[in-house]
Amino acid sequence: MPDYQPLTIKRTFNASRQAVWDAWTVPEQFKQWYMPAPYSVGEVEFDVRPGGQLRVETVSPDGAIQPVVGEFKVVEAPEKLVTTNSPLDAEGNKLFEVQHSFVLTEVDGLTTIDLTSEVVWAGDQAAPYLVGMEPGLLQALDQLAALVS
Amino acid sequence: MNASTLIALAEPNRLKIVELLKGQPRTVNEIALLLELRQPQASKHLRALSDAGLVNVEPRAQQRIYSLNPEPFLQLEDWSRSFHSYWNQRFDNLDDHLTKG
Repeated sequence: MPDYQPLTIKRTFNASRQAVWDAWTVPEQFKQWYMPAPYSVGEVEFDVRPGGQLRVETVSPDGAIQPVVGEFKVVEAPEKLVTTNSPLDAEGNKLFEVQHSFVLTEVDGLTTIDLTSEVVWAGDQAAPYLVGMEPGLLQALDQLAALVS
Repeated sequence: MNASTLIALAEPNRLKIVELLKGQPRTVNEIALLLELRQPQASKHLRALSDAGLVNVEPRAQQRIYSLNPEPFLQLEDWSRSFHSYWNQRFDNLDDHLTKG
């Protein structure tokens, strides 16, 4: 497996922590925003408790469904959510497993999400899905520079 | 992202020159000496870097002083960050969803 780098992203929303938590954990809300266009979300099954399973159907523009399965690892409403996610291939095998850790903090009515996303495991077919988590370009340039000097 | 930036960097001696110029501006003689290149060779690489906009040239007396132009390196950084855009789009959607109430 390549040395995938954890992805960290921070974003602040003009909403309460509870509203952000609900958008993430209530299937009817989750469906409405989770997949960037032109993709959309089909069926969503969430068992929101530690050890509970999740299943999300992602739908591509041609109607093809790719299921994502995973588990809720940590559920501390409304401040911390850790999940694993694995997209399945056509035979139902996991392509890879990513662990997302979301920490929500609310200050003056604004809620910040700190997301850390780590590749737990990656199969042979995973690389195209993990663009952006591969060793960063700038690090690669540094390594190249170190190699040639 | 400008392909000419990557093409200019994709040569071991030119990458070494960029590394040298990261520390301080230098003359072609210094660069040739430090990298054990012949001066015409160093000049050729510097011209390629200059044509791609990666280095600036400033004449001083009989010398030409080469320094890095930060702009293309900042573009490189932005480009590398743009691979995070999947989550950024997703968060844009979440923002819209939360705003709609």
